[in-house]
Amino acid sequence: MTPEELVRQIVHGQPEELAKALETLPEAERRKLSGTTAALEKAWRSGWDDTFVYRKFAKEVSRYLGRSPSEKDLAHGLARQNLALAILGAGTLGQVKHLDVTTINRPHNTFDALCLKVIRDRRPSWLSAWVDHQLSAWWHRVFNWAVLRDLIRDGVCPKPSCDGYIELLADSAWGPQRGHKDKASSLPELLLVEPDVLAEDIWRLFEVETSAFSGWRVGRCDPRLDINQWPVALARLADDGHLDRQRLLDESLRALTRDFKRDTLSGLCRFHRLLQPTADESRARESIHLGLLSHGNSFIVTFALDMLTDLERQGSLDGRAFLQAAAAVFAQPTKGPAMKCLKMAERIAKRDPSLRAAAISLAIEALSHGAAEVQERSMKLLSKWQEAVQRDHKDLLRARGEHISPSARAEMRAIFGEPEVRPPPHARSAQVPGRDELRQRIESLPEKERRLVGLDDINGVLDRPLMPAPLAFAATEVPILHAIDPVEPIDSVDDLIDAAAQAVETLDSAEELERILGAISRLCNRRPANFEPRTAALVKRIYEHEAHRGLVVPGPCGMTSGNLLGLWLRDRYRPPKYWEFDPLPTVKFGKSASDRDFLLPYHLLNAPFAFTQYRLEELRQRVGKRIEAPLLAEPTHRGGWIDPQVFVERLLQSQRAKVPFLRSDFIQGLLRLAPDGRGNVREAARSVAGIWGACLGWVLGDGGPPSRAKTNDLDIWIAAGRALAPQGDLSSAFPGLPGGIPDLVEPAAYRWRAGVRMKDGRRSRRDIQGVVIDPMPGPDDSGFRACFPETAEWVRQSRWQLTPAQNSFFLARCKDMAAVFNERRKLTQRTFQRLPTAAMHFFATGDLKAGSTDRSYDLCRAWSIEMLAMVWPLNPDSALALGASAIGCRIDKDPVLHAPDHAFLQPLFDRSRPWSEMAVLALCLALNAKDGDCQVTGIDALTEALDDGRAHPTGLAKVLAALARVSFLRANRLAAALIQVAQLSRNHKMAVAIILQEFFDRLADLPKDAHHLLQLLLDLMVELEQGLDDSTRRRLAEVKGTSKSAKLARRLCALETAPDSTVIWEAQARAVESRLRLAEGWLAAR
Amino acid sequence: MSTAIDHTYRYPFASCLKRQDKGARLDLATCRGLEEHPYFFEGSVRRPRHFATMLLTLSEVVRTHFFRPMPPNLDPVLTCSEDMLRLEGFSGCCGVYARIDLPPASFDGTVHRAGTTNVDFNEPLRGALKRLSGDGTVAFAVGRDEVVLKQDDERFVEKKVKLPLRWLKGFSEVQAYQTTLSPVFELSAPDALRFLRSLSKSGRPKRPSFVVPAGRSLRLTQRESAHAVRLSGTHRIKVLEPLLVMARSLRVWRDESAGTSAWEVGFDPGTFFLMISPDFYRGFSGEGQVLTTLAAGRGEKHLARVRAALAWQSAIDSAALARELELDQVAVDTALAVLGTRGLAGYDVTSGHYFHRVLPFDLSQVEALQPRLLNARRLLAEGQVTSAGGKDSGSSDFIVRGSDVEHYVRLRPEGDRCSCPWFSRYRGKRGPCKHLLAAQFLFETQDES
Repeated sequence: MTPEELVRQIVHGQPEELAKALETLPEAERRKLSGTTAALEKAWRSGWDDTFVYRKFAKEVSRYLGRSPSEKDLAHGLARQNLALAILGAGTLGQVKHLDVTTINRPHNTFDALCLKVIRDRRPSWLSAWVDHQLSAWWHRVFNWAVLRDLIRDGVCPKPSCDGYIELLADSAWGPQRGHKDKASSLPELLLVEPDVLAEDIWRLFEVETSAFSGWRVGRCDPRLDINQWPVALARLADDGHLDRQRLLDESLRALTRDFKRDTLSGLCRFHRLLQPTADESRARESIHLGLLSHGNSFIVTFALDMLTDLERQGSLDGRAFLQAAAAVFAQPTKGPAMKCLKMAERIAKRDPSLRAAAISLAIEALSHGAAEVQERSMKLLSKWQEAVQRDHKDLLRARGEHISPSARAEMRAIFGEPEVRPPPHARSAQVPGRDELRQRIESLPEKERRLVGLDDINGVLDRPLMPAPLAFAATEVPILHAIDPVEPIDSVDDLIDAAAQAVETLDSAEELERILGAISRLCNRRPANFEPRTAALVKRIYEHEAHRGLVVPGPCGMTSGNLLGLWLRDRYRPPKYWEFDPLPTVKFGKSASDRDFLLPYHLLNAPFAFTQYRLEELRQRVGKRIEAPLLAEPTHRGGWIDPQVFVERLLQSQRAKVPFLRSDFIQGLLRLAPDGRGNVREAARSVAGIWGACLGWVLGDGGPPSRAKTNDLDIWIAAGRALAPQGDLSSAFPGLPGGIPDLVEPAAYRWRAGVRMKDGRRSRRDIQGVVIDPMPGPDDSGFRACFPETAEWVRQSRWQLTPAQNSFFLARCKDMAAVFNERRKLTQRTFQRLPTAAMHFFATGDLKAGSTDRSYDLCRAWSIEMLAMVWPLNPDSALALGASAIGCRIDKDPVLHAPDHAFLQPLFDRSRPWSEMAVLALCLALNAKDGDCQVTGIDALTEALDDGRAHPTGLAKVLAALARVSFLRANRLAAALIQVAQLSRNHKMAVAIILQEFFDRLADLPKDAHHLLQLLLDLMVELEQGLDDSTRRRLAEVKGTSKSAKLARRLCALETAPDSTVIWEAQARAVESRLRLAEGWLAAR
Repeated sequence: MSTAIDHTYRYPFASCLKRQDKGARLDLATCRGLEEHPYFFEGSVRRPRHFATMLLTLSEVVRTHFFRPMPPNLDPVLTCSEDMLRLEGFSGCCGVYARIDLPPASFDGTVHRAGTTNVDFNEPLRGALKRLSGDGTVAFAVGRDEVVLKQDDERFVEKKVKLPLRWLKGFSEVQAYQTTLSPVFELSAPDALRFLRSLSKSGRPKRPSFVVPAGRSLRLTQRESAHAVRLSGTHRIKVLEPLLVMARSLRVWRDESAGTSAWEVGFDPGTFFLMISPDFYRGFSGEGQVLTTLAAGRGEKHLARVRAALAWQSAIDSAALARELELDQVAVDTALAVLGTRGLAGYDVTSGHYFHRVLPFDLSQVEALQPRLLNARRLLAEGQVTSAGGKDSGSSDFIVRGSDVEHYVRLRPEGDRCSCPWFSRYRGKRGPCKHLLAAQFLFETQDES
């Protein structure tokens, strides 16, 4: 065959003809043709051109035939099949590796049969290497087991030695893809006709990780019935004498020491059990089981312990060998194997008292285990064997003293003397103040401050082991700035360029964005000589940035920020390319005449961010005109606070420069106004002209509410009212405005509930319903539905679905919100932009539904979430409520980067106010969250807030109990978090102990996993040398039974308070001292 | 350039722990070094349980990829000298470096010779080490006498692995990052264990956290403070948990500016040293703090002399070496730092000295593996760096041509800056970018001329 004939056959011939032509071709002639097949293969591989034509292939063909094939020639697909056959018949290994064939397995497919025929006719030398290559690519195998075995049996191909061959064997058990001609045959029957597979290949299933043992479960159905599963088939073959049963037992155990995946290893354990080894067989493998005690996987250790337990029960276990090998079990972090091991040690020591010394050593080893339950079990054994404990043991025990929990340590002290506890190297021994000193300091406080910090009952605080009363002040009542770090403004163009360049890559916080905005506002018209070259790279990044990180990201806030930066840098702005494909949707509603004008834009659904976007947009317009002026709302202190004196100076500076105030900037400035020294700036503020001055005067206490405000000015007046009285009722100041909208004229009054579905008394991970918070319990949505039926239907059906309570709230108040600006039939983005305090509550929580994986862009950035709380630092409850919903719906989810819920907790670090219920709710949910970022941030917040008194045990216990009542609490996570908090100081220990006592007081039924919390309470009470409160003692005394919780409850009830304990006094004194520091700080700041 | 090299560990026998009449015998098989299968040590271990746990933890580090589930099959490196036996390992993700330092008090026995080699770690050995109790004596040998080797009828053990170049580079360069560490806090082993056990396995923080003292122990926080140690990927230090059950103390080191930290577990005698990179998804190979030293060619001048003076010292006294070579001590320190980055010296932060060892890998490609340095030199050679004026009192501005845009570089005594995304993102914490390096080259050239 000449190359031209081959090419003609490929382009114009039928596959059968080509196969026939290749049938008797000598190998030397085939090699000569391989150059032609290589060129064609390469040309074909280059694929289509822009017009979907195989142009390169056609060009290659024309080299041989003198003319190009028509599109019709190539369209029917035969050329592709013929090329594959030609490559198999004449190509080299390199060419077949690129073969454009997905399978040749289909028994009734002509092309597949022809491929196999060509291979059989040729018997190429590369077949073995090609098979190995194919088998190593498990995702794309040309052969299946049946086809390959046929080739091997017929001597066309040698048996492969690669792991892929064994993987193919394992996969062949799955019927539909088995490829055997006889599909009715079972797996054992098919194996029996393959003697070499049964003799050799089967055993490699224990050496190579395959699907043979993974995913197989005993008990899901009767495994004996599913004979096509490998474990069952192997067991059957062993039962029938076709496989060596002893070898199966050995290989299954040996495979456990291989580096297999967890699923495969557990399948192997189950297979070994399925073989039901006899007592003799297990005894013969005792050393292997002992070896498995040191395995890294706890379920294999448990498996080995089970096998050894059987031996021990039969009396054939070598007790000494077990006690020596079992020490490795305590390296497992899970407590199950450790407890099992101690039980076995107890039985062995009972049966053979000579082994008691070894058992004692093992019990001492168990004291190093992290679980208090294991330690206590070990202590029980040691006390039981007390008489056999030797001096060496006692030395070891004392050395272990630091490792064990306080409650177990107390037992140890009683039996074996004081354990060895070394002082911590970095411990600081601060002097504990005496009662008289504290009394004197409390008495020197003015009565008001004493009341505000909860120290008005001096005797109660100092003489009884109690926490001081909760702090009782509002954010506007006391000076706060002295306790908050100031924010350093950016004051040069150089620094601004650097800060902006950094923010485009990674934006650390909302405060950093505020600094940049402030600097752009002040410096936007300054252009140093090297401005253009210095900012060239930054401009490029803003326009072409495709990574979603930093400041310039999709989403309303990110896009407007990018817009602003672009204008500052180059006087013009064009959005990045990828934004062109992501336009903001605006949804119009209403077909009827009454609904026609009612607009519900996308932004309504993200109303909390609308105000920030409005601010950025107003600033952008001013920067576009190159007008330099101070940004009124640029924070002077962390958390978004502004010093009133600085605010008034900025107003006057702008006024002198005749730069009009930006409306959003003024509103934002008012909402961030710190309470410090508001009275001191009244005089200066009188110079601020117009409506601005009047509003400011009202906030500073130098004027009253508007007698008759213009509709257009309502937004400024409402902001002023909210700055004056963050939690006050402004109805009397704004008689014409609708009520029932939270934080408009009436303060929000939150009502919340957590939801979880229960099944058979257990909560399902998938059925978390989240936390639903209604900021203004009130009317239902029936009125709205009547008025706007189509809109209501859309909201119901849209992807922004709301929970029923949210739906009710949302719909009922949209109309009222529109009415604020007399926009009765028109609810626009502007409405939400101008009323930020109320807009915070208009959030369609479709994003925050349990199980939801989609989030709007602004909720995916920590900085934009932080911005929410900085809108109204005087009252961050609305942002915290949003955070509680967000954390609640992801309570059992792993941390992910696109859900930075920890950012919602930032207001909890603000030292200016005691925690509200929303703050406590967000914190409690964070402590319960699986998300490590949330939990650690929650621990940080609680640690600080317990230290300075902002968090009070009573409030925390109340919320925790409410969550526990609906099974929303994960006691193990909460206990782990509270342990972290308690370890900080005795003051924290006392606070956590009180939280837990009050928590249990409030519960009618203890949660199923309450033992985690009871264990912590026991450890704390032992360390604090305290007994339970009477009410908690009564409550826990009611817990009966033999459960872990009941046992711990009994131990707790037995605790007695140590007389004159210095430990509890230190805790108490520290708590009082922190309150004193707070009040003394206020006095100094005034 | 290939991203990995094929490497074959070829051991004359498999390392094993065998039971004997009185106790056990641990034989570590060796491969590569000055000889093909060096024979370093023969003796016995004084604290077998401690030793076994240290070996297991080191083995855990080298066989783990802490970022992706990709178990690498790498073996530790052992350096033997008269007064110290050191085992080093580097994780598959290039972000965790571990070292065991065993002083003579840990052993009874004879050091046959000094040198560096790979030692075989295998599954049966790991299993046997886990079961090793504290009772009885454990004989210990590193390598085997050639005569015994010939008599033994054991099969050679071969492990073929692909060693990523970034792994080799990170392993070599991690030494240089130890010199900037300073101790932050020290606590007893039980208190340290309490802290490690408090770290959640499943819901670990995704953001970088910080470790701060809390009562007697430590705790994790997300609030940065003056004495906080940055920690990203808490699972990376959880490997220390088994060690702390029997250890004496834990000392924590940090490099505040780079964000690296080191966790030194103290035993009586011996230490286990674990150093981790600033982020768990980023290895030491991507750090570039040593680039400035390498770029300037400092140390190259005396490199050969300093290298020739190395003789497997377990602690190189740079002052004494400087006197011996009649050089400035700074020059010796710089030369040692360069040798460190080339795998020819290690650094022991606890003693504050370099030690001599030669990583038993083909390091020829590593020396050339500094892409930022190479790119900077290319930029300079292609004339892509131009002065933008402003040269006064050690300050100067440059424009460096990048891809599609020109970057503005400012060299200042208080800190150099560049307008490229790399610099903006890391703010110099991962070393200078190629534009800064190129500008520095030109600045120094102009200065010299």
